This record gives sequence, structure tokens and C-alpha cells, in this order.
Amino acid sequence: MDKHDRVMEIFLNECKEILEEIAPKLLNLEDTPNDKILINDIFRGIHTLKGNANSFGFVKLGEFVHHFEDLLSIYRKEESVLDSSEVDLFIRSFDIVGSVFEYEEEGINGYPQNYYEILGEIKKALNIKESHEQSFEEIVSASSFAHASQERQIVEKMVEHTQYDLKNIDGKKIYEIKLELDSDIYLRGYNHQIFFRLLENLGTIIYSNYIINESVPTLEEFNTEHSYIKALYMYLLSESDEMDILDIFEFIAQEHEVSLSVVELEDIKEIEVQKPINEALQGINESSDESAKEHKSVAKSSIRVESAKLDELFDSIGELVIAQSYISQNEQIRAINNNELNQYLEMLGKSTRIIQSKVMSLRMIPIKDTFLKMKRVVRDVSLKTGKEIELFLSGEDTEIDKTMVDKLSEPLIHLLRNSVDHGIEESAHERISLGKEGCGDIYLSAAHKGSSFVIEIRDDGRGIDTSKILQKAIEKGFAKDNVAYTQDEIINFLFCAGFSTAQTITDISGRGVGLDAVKQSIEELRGKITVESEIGVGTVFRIILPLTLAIIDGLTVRVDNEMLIVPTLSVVESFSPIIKDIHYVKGEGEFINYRGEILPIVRLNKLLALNSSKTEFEYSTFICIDHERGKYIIQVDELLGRQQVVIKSLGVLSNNVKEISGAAILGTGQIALILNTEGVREHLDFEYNA
Amino acid sequence: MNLRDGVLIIDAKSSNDSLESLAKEILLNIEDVKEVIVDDALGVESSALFSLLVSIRKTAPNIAIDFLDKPSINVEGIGIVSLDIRG
Repeated sequence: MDKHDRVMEIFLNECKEILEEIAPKLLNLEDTPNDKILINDIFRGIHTLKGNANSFGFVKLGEFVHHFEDLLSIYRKEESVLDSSEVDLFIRSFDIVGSVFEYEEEGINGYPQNYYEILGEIKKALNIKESHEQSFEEIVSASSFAHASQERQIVEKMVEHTQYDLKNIDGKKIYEIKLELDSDIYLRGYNHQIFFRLLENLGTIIYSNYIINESVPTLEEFNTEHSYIKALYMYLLSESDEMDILDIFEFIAQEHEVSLSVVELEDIKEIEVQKPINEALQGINESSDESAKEHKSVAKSSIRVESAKLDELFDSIGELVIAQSYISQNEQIRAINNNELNQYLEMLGKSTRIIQSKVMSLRMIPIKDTFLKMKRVVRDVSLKTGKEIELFLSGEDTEIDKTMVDKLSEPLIHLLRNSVDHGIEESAHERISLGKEGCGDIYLSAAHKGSSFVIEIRDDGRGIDTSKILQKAIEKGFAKDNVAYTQDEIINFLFCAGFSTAQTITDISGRGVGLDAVKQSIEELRGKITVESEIGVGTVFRIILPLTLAIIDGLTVRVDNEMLIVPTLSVVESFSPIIKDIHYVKGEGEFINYRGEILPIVRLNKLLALNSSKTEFEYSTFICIDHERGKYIIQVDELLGRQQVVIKSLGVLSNNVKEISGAAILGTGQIALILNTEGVREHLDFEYNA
Repeated sequence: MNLRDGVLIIDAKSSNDSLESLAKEILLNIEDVKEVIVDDALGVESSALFSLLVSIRKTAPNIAIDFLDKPSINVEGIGIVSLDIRG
């Protein structure tokens, strides 16, 4: 990566951060449209984005944010309160900014859909606002005010784009010639080339600007008899006097408006000088605005580090932890029994744990940004469905591994869409008739529970009708007609691929990606999803995840002479079996009566082909594994304890062994395989089907 | 119409009549056009060309048009030019 690429990467990351920061602020503006601090915050973000875009030649982005910034600039100064349509325009404009940014980042040609429509709306709003301001400017007439402001902009463009050194014009004048053209100029034989050619005889044309009417039609209706050029500005550097120049335009001056003015050098100097001053003033204003903020952000000194480097660091720390554990548990070293050595070993252990904890914390970030994005999701779905919904967030500062945060967005979006679309009642009237508030409530919360990270999506809607689900499950062949299923088992049918109870597929939640995809995403993060629901009261989807993907909390067990790690998240409990509760069903396998439920038993030594001889049940330990397709029991020889281990991938070695998901090196230096409880369950399903 | 490998080259010396028939041809082949390049080596005959470029952009926003995608361009016979689309 060369220097340019590195700078570009920094720029892109900064833009993404700015976009992420602005998104929730725009949504907050819906609730508090009078919050000037909020508008200022958004303005500053867009202003920075504009500066960045122009610096890196992102013209499309620069152009759009330039107009968006102009609009925001008016509102941040005005006393009036934004109405909902204006906030909506801000939000839609921001969507375009995001899309244009993606186009620029990916190098996609052209413009995103609705680019021109939204830009048109911004310009329209700008015009309305400007003319509204004019009514306060009684001294200046509307037309001359607009005329003056337009020329100033074009002079600024001339200064910016001309290749001529305006500081050394040796007593020449810069003339601005403005032609205001009618739509029928071509029918009258207008030819712009003539003017350029004749003007070149009098001096140097240093810049021109064509003002094209945005009402230019699409190609279907394009007509060259009609001119869409409203005006042409030409800037001529010349020693000639004004009359010589006006003579050139004599023959069209009767039909079109031609105006000539001299651009004062002082004006140019002012523009050139004013630019950095404006930027500096902007900075001062911004800093004074900042100080006025109620919720000041504390300045933090930070550096950017690639996440890949953090992963490498984490791997190295993992090795250090293993080496430290090995030393502290090594029998030969312990046998030395030297006080000084023991003290240093203790120090080594303590420092290693501190370093491990610090490095872990580097990967942890609050779930806040993801949660704030969800506000937008709920807002949009709420608008589409016409349901009034309020989303309550809590626990946004709860931290989770960054790599997991990135993968949580999709499942959360899906679950929230489901909650709005299917969970909340169809109308406020229906809710009120049920004794509820007309507005539906959805609660999105996050919390650390033990060594897990738990996200809950709770709605106060109609709840899940399990009888309908069972009926559908039977129809679709997921369930058998004559079997008594528990409520949990019935709800779990929702997570089967191809299952949907929706009467009609909507473009909100019926996108062909069902809850099975959500479940799969969560399981890829080594987590699980549960559902609780009560008819008429509401539904809770609960996502339980490990805090990090790098470390796993597990039960260390011995099977034959091998050590295995069973993820704690999947464990219901471990127990010593009572022999009379175990039954053998011919052709089906071994089962145990576990708290009134008949659960299948998996002999791990047999499954993993460790030892073909049966271990007596009375000398073994049973572990009940929770799974959405039903609990099951694994039989192990010995339960050694519970510990957190650093996960090591087995790479292609474990691709064909679905019962194993990875490996870990224990403190003793022994390698323990990590059990994949999903893979074991699949094995059971296969046996039953067979 | 000079269209090769998705690149449409418009001769800036085209008259208004040529531009109008070109507009129709472009419309028929719009799916194949990925980029528009203006050949202004001999200057720009008619300013209607600029409107045509805007019309192409409106019809197919995904087509790259260097004349519109840059804040200013250096056109033979005219010099540095900006095209501003306004309401």
C-alpha cells in the first residue's frame, strides 16, 4: 500500500465514521426539531465530509453535500422550527450522501437512484428559504438579491478553476459577460462559437460557465430546437474597453439580455483571502459551539490500528498465556520449591492476566452504534406499515467483540422488522380495543450476563400463536400430527428453513430470508437464540452470545484419554446418571428420563471413535445439552472443571469433522478439542432419520 | 454512432440536427453505453451538446460522463468551462 492508498484509506474511514455519527443525530432531530446544537452537529459532520470529498476529488459527493450543507446552514441560523417534512428531507438527503459515498468508494460510475430528485428538493428548499429570507431583507429586491448572489458564486468558481494567475494581470481587466438566453435561441441561429471566437480577438477567455436548466428532459423527449441553457457567463481578461466588448453582442442584444461588468481585483483578493479566514472562523465557531454543548465529548488521544494487527497481537498473547500456564503447572518447575522463583512465577501469572485482559478490551466496543442504526430501521418500517412504534434502547454502552458487532446488524434488522411487521398489532385501533396504548413499544436491550452477552428484542404486540405454528409445521412436514410438542418445541419450528406463517409476503420481513437465517448467523457467532411469547402480551427474542470469538468459556471433560471442551453456553447441567432412568429402545438407541423428558444419549467415545468398548454409565458423567431441536445428553468419563480457553482453528483439518469446531491448548500443555454441539445434534438427527 | 465496448464517443462538431438523431440512437442502445466521451479536438459546434449530456445523465444516471463528472473541463476553442445545472 503506497502513501496515497494509506491516506485514502484514512479518508474513507473518517467519512464512514462521520456518516455513522450523523445517522442517529438525524433521527433524534425528529424528536427534537428545535435542537440547534443537534443541527450544528449534523452541519459540522456534513461540512467535514464536503472538505474531505473535495480534497480527494470525489466530485459527486462534494457536489451533493455542498447543497445539503447550504440547506443545513440556513436552518442552524434560523429561529424557525423544522417540520417533519423538512426532517424527512434531511434524512433522505443523508441516505443519498451514504449511497454517493459508496459509489465513490467502489468507483461505480454514475449516480445513485433518486440523486437528482433529492438534489432538486434540496435546491427547491434552498430557493424557498432564500426567498423567505429576502422578505426580511426589505432593502434589497428579490431579483437583484438573487442575481448578486449567483454572480458571486460564479466569480468564486472562476477564481477556483481558472488556470490563469490572477495576481499578475498587468493592468488588464477581468470582464464578466453574462448572456441570458431564451429557449428558442437555436431557431434564431444562435451560435456560441462566434462569441468565443470574437472575444478571443480582444483578449483571453479565462473561464466560462453554462447555466443549464435542470428541466432538461430525458432522451425520449430531447429536442435540439429547444435550448435548455439559461445563461452563459464568460470571463475575459482584456485591455479593451467595455464598448469594444459590447459591440460583439450588438446583434443579439435586442432579443437577449447581455450584461457586462468588471470583476474588481479587490473582490478576487477578498475571495482568495476570505477562504482560509472563513475556514478558520468556521473552526472557531465550531469550537465555541462545542463548548456550549451540554454533553461535551471529552477529548481523547487516540490512534488508529488495523483490526488485523490487533488479531495478531491477540494471538501472540494467547501463546503467552499458554506458555505461562505451562510453566506454572509444570511439575518439575513446581518441584524446585524456591520462594523467589515462586514469587516471580506469581508475578508472571498476574502480569500475563493483566496483559490478556487489556488486549481483550482493545477488541471490545460498545454495541451503541449498531443499536442506533436500529432506530432508523424501526422508523422506516413503521412508516411503511403505517404503525406507530416507539423503540426504547437500553444497555447501549455494553461492550462486545468488534468482529461480532459487525455481524450482528443483519440478524437484528431482521428481528426488528419482524417485530414491527408481525409482532405489533395491525392498527392502533386494534391495540386500544385490547386495552393497550395505540403506539406499539419495542425494547432493544443489551447486557452482560456472566460470560455471555445478551441482546433482547421485546415487543408488546400480539404474541406468537403456537396453535397456528403447529398447524403450519404439520402442513409443511416439520411436525407430526400425533405427537405432543412442548411450547418451546413448537416455537422452534419458526427457525426451520422455509417456515413462514405470514399470510402475505411483505417487502419488509418477507424477503425470502427467514428466522432460520437469523439463527444461522447467531450460531456462526457461537451464540444461540431463544423466544418467549405470550398471546396478547408480546414476544421476546433473546440472543445469547459469547463476549468474544477469540475465547470460549467451556467445561473441560475427559473422554477416554482425550480432553474435550464443551461450550458452557450450550450446557443445561451435568449430573451423575441414575441407572434405572436409562432405557434402551431397540433400533432407536439409548435414552434417559431427564426431569420427565425422554432425551437421547450420545456416547462421545463412540461418536468420536475414541474407544469402541462401552463405558459403564454408572462410572460416567452426563451433560445435558440445550438445542432448539431438542435437548440431548452426552456421556463423558470425567468432568474436570470449567475454564476459558483461547480458541485455535484446526483449519481444513476439521472441515470434515462436524462434531469438532476447534482446539485449545490447556495450561498443562495438552490439546483439547472443542465440541460442536450443533454437529453432535446433526449426527443424532441423521441416526433417527436413518 | 461511435459506440465501442460500452464507450460512446460524441463528436463535439455535431450540428443540432445530428445531435437530435444521436439522442434517438443513444436511447435505443442505452443499455450498452457505460461511458460517454466528448471528442472536442475541433471545438464544440453547438451548446446543445451540453444539454444532451445532461439529458443522457437523466435518462441513465449510471453512465459516466466526464464532462459532467468534473467540476470544470478544458474545451478546445472555449477554454475552462463549468456546467451548472440549476432550477
